[in-house]
Amino acid sequence: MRQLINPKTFGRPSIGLALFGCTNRPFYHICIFPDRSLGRRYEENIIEQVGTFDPLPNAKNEKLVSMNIGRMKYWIGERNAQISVPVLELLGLSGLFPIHPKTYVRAKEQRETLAQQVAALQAATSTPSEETEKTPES
Amino acid sequence: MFRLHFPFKFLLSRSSLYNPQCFKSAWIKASSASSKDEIDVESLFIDQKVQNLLKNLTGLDVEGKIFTERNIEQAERSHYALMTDSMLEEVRARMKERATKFLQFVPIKEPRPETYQILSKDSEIEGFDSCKFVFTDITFDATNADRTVVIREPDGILRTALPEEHDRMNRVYYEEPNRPPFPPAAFKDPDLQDALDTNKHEFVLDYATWFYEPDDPAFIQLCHVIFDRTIEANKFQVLYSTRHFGSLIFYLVVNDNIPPLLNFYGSMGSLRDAANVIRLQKIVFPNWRTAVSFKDTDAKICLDFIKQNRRLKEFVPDLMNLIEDPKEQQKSSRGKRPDNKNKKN
Repeated sequence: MRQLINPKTFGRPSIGLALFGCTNRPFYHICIFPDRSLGRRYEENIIEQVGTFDPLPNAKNEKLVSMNIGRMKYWIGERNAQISVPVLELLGLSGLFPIHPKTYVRAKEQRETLAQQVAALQAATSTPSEETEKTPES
Repeated sequence: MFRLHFPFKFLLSRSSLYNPQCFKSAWIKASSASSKDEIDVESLFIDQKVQNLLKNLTGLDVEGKIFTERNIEQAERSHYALMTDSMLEEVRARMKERATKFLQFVPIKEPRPETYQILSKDSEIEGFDSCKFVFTDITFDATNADRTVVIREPDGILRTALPEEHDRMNRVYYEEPNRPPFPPAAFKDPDLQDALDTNKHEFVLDYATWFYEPDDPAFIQLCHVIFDRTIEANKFQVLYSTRHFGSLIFYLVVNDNIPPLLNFYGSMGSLRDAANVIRLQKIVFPNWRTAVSFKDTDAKICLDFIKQNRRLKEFVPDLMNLIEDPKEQQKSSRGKRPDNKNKKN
């Protein structure tokens, strides 16, 4: 028989968001997955759950994130886990890690689209007034 | 703060320099007469003499209040026993001991400051999302008070959580029965007023004690509202001999508003309790001119108090009746009040 491997101790684990929830209601658990060479990530493959992230805002317009910092420190510090980009973004926003470049990019793009929308709105409100100005002249 | 040895730490924590709450306690209303004094409400409440007086004043109605009929889910069988008189006395004494455990006071504490600290200002990520992100640290070995809760605002500011947000996250991630994330409707009008109209003060206060932390500003505000309405409606009997009566007495004393309480004890017919309230007031507001000696009798203390505060005489009619006609009162109900015979405390 070939050598059996314990997925919990082999290789380099990775921390990522695992999608749970139901239709039209996503909910993510921040989980530790084993080394990628042992198979793709799926529910039965999870080693440990280390937090949650609710992408839908609550009644007070807040998105709730919970993180078991103690266990995360172990997996990142001792076991050298790979961290996926969404989890890196969350860690950056929480202040534990530096803010991820993708957050800066998203923020800038969001501000640009907002500015464009505002400009479009202003253009839409100003053109009727320009037309009303033109008609009395003619 | 650097670590100090015991006596200095104690003194430093009590000095008004390092304890800004000494200047204005949340338990003293701005409109009350004592709002100009600087009283350290927390350490006064913990003082042993004050605790003893409050314990005596709370009363101990074993059969009428503490072990009354309650609504329970599972039906229980009644127990019957054939006993001699001495066995009955023993059982009564044991029940009295058990009843005192139900009268442990709710702690009176200053509210947590409703301020937040800004940990980081990252205006470059302004607009990264339209919602706030609330990060809760669910590390195993942290208590509810110790937990780290930080909030990232949409304009990039990272700040610590306010007491309300902090407690809400505790209730979300560490669920207990009957502790939903948002406060229940029973703590707001009109449901609060309905509950108080049907004399459910004890229920609402017990629910609030279970739901909130004792130093939550919302809890202290709710206590103020319930106590004020109890005093207005003169419903002291509803809270007498419950664990909240101590807080009510202390609240009245600290706000220098004793007459309703004296009147209540007068209507109950107990001079000793009225005198204890006055003794408590002397401890909270020490004044060498009107100091009370331990040799004074209860009646003398009450009379002196009324002589010194003549303007309050009209607010305490029941107490006046008790003082002025003590012989008539004692003759009419000699069997009911054996305490009045021991006037020296």
